[in-house]
Amino acid sequence: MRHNICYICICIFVAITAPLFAGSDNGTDEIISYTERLSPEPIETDVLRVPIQRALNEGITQESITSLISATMHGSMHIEETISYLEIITATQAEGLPYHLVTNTILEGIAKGATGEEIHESLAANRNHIEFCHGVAARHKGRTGRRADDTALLTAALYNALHMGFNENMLERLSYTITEHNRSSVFFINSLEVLMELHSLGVENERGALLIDRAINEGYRIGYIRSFPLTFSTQMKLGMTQDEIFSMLHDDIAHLRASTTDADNGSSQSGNSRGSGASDSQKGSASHGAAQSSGTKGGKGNRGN
Amino acid sequence: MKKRGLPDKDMARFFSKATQIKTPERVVLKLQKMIAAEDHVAETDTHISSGIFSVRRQLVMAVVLTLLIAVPLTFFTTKRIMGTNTPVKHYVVRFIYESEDAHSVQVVGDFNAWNNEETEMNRIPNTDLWIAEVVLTEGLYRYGFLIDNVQWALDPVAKINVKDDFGKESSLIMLFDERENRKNL
Repeated sequence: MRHNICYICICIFVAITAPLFAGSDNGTDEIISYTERLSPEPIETDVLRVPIQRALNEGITQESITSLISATMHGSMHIEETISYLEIITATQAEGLPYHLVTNTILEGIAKGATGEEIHESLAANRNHIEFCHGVAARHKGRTGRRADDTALLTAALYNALHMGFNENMLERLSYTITEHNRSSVFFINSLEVLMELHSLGVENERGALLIDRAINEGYRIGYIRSFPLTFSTQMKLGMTQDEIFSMLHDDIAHLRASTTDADNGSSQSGNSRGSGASDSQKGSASHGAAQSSGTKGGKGNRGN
Repeated sequence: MKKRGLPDKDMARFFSKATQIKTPERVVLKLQKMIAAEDHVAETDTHISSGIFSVRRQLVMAVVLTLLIAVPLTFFTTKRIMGTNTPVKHYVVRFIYESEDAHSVQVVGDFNAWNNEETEMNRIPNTDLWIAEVVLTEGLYRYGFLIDNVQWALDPVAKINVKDDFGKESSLIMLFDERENRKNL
């Protein structure tokens, strides 16, 4: 009787878990057959079996592997090239680094007609970048239940920022400031977006980073910081120089800070609608008002509203 | 389980008969036989019912034990594969490119694995506008427009353009829900 029960147990267990265990083996076969279908002439796909299996075992998605193989096949690359890319992304994943960034770089390179050598050079150069970005991102707290997603997002944002010429010191300093002020990784991502937008507008990286750093240090919320690109683009269209805009924004920050401190001390001026006890949210809305008014020079009188 | 011994009605019948029989030895003998027969029936019933109960109980135990092992294993393995059980948000992104001379325009980027056959843009009739809609999840995506399968172009309305490692540039789109965790923003 007991033997029968054991037998039933094993059968049920195997039936329930079979798809999980069967999945990994089928993955390799599926990718191999997909590769064979892609190739116009018969190729030796058995050499791909081991690297594919290793990649799947490391947790790389089937989708990533097939897209990589598909791209190398379309790019008429040698199968050895494909294997080397698979090994690179597997090694990246094995070290706990985000392999998507590596995969995307390879795919982008192939799509843009880069040679294998250029792609390998790029990957070698980016390796330290990815490590740095992942290390910084992991230090920041993510949204509730989404820590992993936010770390990945922040890593990607930092990686792109590095590609735009922001150096590691600038990003480290910004990371430190954000951590000091107990801001989330989403705040950091927003700040990086602003930085990158400023860069695309032609703003010098170091000055842009300092401006944001100062705004965070002064306790401003993201609503105010997000208005910087709009302020720059509007004022530059109106003929202001970057120096003038920087000077105006730094004045804004200092003035608002002073007003807030006055309000906190209970010495608010008459007509100041914020009054005493300017909370964080009030400060945020006040700063947002300033950001809007900074679009025109004459709007400074409305700051407190 | 059946009560061992004689039922009440049998006892009554026995004693009504016993009063008619004068010999006590015969009464005792008959009583012993009846008790022995009842005991046999009761033992057989008990044996069968306990056997059925045992098999059923063991089956239930087997299923419960298997589920106790298999369900958490399946859950954790799935979670490891899927990465997270947080619902994924989707964003519909509309790409627009203006070109008078183009015969075909594709939007190519991280979201379609840089596959130029994946997302073909359609020309809006009687205009120079090419349009494509893509459903994306949260993330940062580099992309560009491929004109006539030859020429790369940046998105003219993109706020961010990033240098790639191959001497060109890509546009960058950042999709994330900034409304969450507002208190830390």
